[in-house]
Amino acid sequence: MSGGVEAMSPSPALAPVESDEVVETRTEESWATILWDDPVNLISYVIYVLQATFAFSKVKATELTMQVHNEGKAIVATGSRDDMESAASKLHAYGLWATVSRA
Amino acid sequence: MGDGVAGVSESPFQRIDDEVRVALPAQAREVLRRSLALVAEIVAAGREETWRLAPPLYDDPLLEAEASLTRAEEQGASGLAATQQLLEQWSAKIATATLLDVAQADELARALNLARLVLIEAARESPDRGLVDLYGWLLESLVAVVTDG
Repeated sequence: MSGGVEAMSPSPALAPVESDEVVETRTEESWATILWDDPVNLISYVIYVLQATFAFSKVKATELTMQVHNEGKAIVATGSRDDMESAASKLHAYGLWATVSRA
Repeated sequence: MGDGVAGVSESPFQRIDDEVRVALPAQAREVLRRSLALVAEIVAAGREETWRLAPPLYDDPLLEAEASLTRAEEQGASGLAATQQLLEQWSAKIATATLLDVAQADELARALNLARLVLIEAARESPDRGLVDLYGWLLESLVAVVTDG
């Protein structure tokens, strides 16, 4: 914190206010669909599936597929939990290995 | 991921505007008809060769358990039932399919890949991977014409 005079509260709290409430700081958009590498699905097929499922351009689908291939996984979508479950289920229907996790 | 299929010959698929022409010889259609039906039976029996078809939705075991309960309540059936149905449908359709629209080509690609995933597991202990290679070649060929243009 930088130095200087700060405006004082008229009735400063002497101790932190305790609460039983858990403040959920994550938003509805804090979920991700992760596509995992596997040794069996063909690269050209994975590119096709990403184009078909997310309407990605061929360039973007290829970049993500190569990230999966080289790094083991890639985030292919972010959004609400329901939307990410739906996206992962669509990828499963194509035979790809995808999971949902907190972003 | 696999890099592709060796020994590629002329594609049995051809793009004509927004459709895909299927030019498979009768013998190949019969092989596909029988093998798709066989894989559908394997899926229906829930044999271990189908494990790649049913990934978890979550890596976190608690979230996965919660999601599994929700899926069971909402759907009453696993994704394997839908896969079995898809394979049975294409076992019947492949005998006469000559012209596919985009949705049908997408369905066929899914059916070929899902069957291929099961056949790969079934062929692990076998030196003969002819059927796996055939499915890989057909899938590569189909994807190439679907994504062309």
